Amino acid sequence: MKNFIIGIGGTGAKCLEHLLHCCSSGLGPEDLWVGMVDQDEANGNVSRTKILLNKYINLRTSLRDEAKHDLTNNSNLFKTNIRTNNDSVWLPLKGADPTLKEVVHYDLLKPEVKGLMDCLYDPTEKLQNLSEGFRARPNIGAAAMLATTANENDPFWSQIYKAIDAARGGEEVRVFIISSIFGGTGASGFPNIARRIKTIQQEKNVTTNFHLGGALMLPYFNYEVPEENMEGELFAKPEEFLDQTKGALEYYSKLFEHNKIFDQVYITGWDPLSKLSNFKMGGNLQNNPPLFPEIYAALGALKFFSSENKISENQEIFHIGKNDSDEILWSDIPNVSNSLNSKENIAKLIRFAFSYNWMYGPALVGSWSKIKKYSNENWFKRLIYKYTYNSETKNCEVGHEHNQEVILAMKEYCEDILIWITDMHYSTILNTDQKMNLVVSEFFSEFKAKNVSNRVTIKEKLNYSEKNQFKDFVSDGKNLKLLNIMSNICYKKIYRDQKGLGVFMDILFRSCEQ
Amino acid sequence: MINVFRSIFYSLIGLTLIGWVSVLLISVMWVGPGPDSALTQYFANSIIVSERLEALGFEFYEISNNTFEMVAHMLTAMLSATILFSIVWSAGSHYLNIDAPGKAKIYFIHWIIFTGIFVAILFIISYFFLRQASPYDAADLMKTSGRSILVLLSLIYFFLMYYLSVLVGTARFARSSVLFANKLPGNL
Amino acid sequence: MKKFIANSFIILILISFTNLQSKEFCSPDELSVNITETSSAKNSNGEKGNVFVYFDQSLSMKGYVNDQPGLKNVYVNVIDDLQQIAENVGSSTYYHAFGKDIIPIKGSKIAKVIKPSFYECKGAASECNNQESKIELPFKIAKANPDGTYIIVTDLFLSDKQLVGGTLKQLTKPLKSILKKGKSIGIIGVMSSFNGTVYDIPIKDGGSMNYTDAKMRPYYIIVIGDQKHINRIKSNLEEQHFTDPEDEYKFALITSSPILQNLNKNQIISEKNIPKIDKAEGFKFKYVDDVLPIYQFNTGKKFNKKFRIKKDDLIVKGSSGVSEYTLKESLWSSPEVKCKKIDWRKSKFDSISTVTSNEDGLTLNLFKNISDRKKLKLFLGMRYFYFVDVYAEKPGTASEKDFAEWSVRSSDAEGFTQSNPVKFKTLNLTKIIKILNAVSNDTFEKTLVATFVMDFNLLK
Repeated sequence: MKNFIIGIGGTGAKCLEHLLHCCSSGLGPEDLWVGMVDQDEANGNVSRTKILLNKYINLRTSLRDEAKHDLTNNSNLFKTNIRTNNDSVWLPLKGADPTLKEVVHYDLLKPEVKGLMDCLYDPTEKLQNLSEGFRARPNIGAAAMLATTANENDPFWSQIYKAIDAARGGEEVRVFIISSIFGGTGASGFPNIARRIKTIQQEKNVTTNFHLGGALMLPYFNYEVPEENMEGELFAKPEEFLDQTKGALEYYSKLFEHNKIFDQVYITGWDPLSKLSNFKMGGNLQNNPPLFPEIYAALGALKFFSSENKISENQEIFHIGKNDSDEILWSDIPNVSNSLNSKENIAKLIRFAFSYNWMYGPALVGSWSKIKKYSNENWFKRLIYKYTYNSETKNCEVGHEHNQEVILAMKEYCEDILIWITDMHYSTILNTDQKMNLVVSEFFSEFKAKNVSNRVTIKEKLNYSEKNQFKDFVSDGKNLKLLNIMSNICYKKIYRDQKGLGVFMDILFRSCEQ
Repeated sequence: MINVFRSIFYSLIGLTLIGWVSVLLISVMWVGPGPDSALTQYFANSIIVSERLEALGFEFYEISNNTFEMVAHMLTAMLSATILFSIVWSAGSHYLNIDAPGKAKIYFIHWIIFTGIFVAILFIISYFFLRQASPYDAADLMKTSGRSILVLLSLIYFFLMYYLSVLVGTARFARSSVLFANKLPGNL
Repeated sequence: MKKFIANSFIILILISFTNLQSKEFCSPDELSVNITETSSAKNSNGEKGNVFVYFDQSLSMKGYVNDQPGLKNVYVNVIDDLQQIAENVGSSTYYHAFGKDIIPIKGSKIAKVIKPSFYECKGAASECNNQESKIELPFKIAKANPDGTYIIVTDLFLSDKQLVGGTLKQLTKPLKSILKKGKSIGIIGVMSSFNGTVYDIPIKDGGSMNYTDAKMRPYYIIVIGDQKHINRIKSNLEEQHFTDPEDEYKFALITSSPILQNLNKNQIISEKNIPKIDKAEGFKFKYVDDVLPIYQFNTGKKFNKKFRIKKDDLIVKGSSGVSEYTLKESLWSSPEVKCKKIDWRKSKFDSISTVTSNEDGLTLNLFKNISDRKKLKLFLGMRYFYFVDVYAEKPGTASEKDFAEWSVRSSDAEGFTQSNPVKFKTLNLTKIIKILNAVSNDTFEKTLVATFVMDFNLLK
């Protein structure tokens, strides 16, 4: 089965961030191509997701190398083989500072068409610099996207064409797109890209084996717009989100009634809306924190890709919300399928990140002279020493550069996981009456809502009492202690064919559950 | 939990490696070794004040039953203590708070103290049975050097048994707390 | 019915409890008990025989009958009462004088003995009986007729030549015979006033000298016969004549059998002979076959007990006593304590207890030789059977020291005399006592004085 996911706009990118973490915990399909669509190339969320995507791919490549470090197919850690283009982001409008007027070649239009354009777009809109996105103007975004061609040679669209060809060849193909129903790029991109894909499908006469799914994020956050320096600026106004959503829902209602574009649509929202502390119009400063509702979109996508998900002939629309109380619990996270328990996998991933970042990673970082003090410990002997030993040089090479790169890369990735879950934890409930009871993070992190980047800083080292709080770290009632993890890594059976550092990583990952 | 049972199993194997000797000895002593047996001869020559017995007109083998019964009781008590301590350590090692790299070796002190208590208990058991004021009359037949030999041999033997048992029975992650246990293969 | 069962149950328990408490007596098969009567007991028959009295008629004796002004004449007083004293121990009394020969004296003429004329002789010296004192003559009579009681009154002033060679043998041979027949010799030395001449004091040159200035001098009443009679005579004399504090007398009893009695025969041995033994756990004392005392008890290793016999229970009063006792001991042990399974083995110990004697009597330090710092070197949990015969091995020595103050050696006699003593001494008295002791040693027989058994369990 071939799977493709496209995250449209900032929300799409953020949902992809959640999806990447879920895939690293083993919730994803075997294979997945990831792409993003955002006119705001420097968008902070898109950049963050891009960086995370690269880290995921690099780390996975390092740890699924049959020659050096191999987690093997038995391991769920970084199970999903995620691919992407060299540039994972597709800009609908290329060039420096494009405007709508330039995109539609306004000057070359017939007068009557010009008149239509004047009717639909005011001068400000026509002259808006589109390099930082469509500023919550789906009308602009739709026009811009429609103006560009779905060129088969375009790296982004070639993947779609290949996907549809593969479907024609008999292979099952599933494509999923995520965006917000409000805002700019997402709102405009979601229906248009979906339609574009459907058109290609029809052109290629592919009637079976090709499924399209989508996740639509209803409003789930808002922010305060500062009054100064905003006059004359186009930007997404949170008070307009609900109206936009209403309008969009009416549109989709009619669309789905007359056109079966999607096989499955996942819709979710949030109430009360999360209050973001920062407002930025676009660019790299538009770096919104990860929020809980986005996990629903990510899990919806993973459910869509799941082999247990039987897609029916009829269009299905799924919606999800949390429990009625103000407390967000682990039980609010749905399973991807009967065999993939989201709560367990995500909790496992978080614990893995903690253990690796503060307990085991530091022991493995450095030269052999620093590391060898652990050489007599069972976990080291059976998981590290044996699998990084060079029989020719008769040395353990864990301290060598090629191993240290992997160790440090994983440490960085684990840090990202911890920041992600902590940021989501704080940001989702900030300035609301809600409570989130997924993890306890005060003892290892500091949250500064006002910071655009580095809202969350996590401690370099933990002291003894902080480490002892590990058992309460994830509030899933498992009462898993670091002692249990140590015990597990010493006793868990090592999969055959695992090599190098893949052994340790996989064992540690698997040890983080009871 | 399964790892705890595995440890106990390995611990029992470690005990059995040389423990069968004590079981055999105890059985022989219960039944009573014959007058010509090496055990009786050894006791007569090295452990018992045979000269004083002979002065009373007895050969050791004629009245050896009580002595062997006493020694059998002593060995049984020591064996029980060894089994108990071995299993307690092997099972308990799973609950030592070794939750981070480098922490296992700190528990070496705990193991030393635990082992010290075990050796002290072995000594107390042997002292209880073999002292002058022992509840067993047969202890009176022993010479001082004989007592010392018995105490020393049994201490060494049961300590070895205990050590072999905890060597293989200690939780893998706690092996650094037991002397030389970290030399064992990682997957044992 | 229920009541009957309950009562039966109670009775059974009591019986079994009693059985638990009592230790059955079971002795080793090899045990042999030989308790015999002592010779003194054997020989004493209580009958009154004849009494033969011999008065030394030598001239040296004359000074005893002359009063010394201001001093008590015990000689005369004693001789006066001697007839009556003799009749206390004998049925008939026969009197004699002895010197060179033995001359009978009629009873009615006894009074002459206290007159100076008794010791004078007007005839030729070779015809007179007062020139020498052949004390062996009455001894020979006594040997020939041992059933009587012989009383010899003499100054016992014997020269060296009377105490060597054949002359000595004449003294010792009859005495040996007398002692062997179970008779005893009592010597009562009495210090009396003296007013006369002491003859035949040896001088260094070989001759002799006389001394006339003595005011006091001891004489001796030698009594040969049964111990009972000797003691009777001594008592009578003490009661009648030695009552004043200034009265000086000495007594020695020479006998081959100083043992008064075998303690087993008369069941003299009791639990009191071992102090505090009755406090021991499970203590019982009994006589088996009326003669063998058995101490049964349980004890720990700390055992420091002594078996004591009082001198009065064992030794003839006034006799030289016993200087050495020996033990014949056996110790059996058994690992099983119940008689059913008992297996007695005899130990190879040479010596188990020690025995000592002093003025108070006899003491056995029980198990001293098999103890180490008052702890028995035996094994706990076993039953022990200790059997001991106590023997009198050697007789004691009559008080040579007591008589030493009245004795002067031949070599010192001249010097002593020249010192003008008021109280004269007896020549060779110590030597005579020694000779008598030697005679009694020769005739002494090893005598079993006591036998007992200790049957005990050694517990913690």
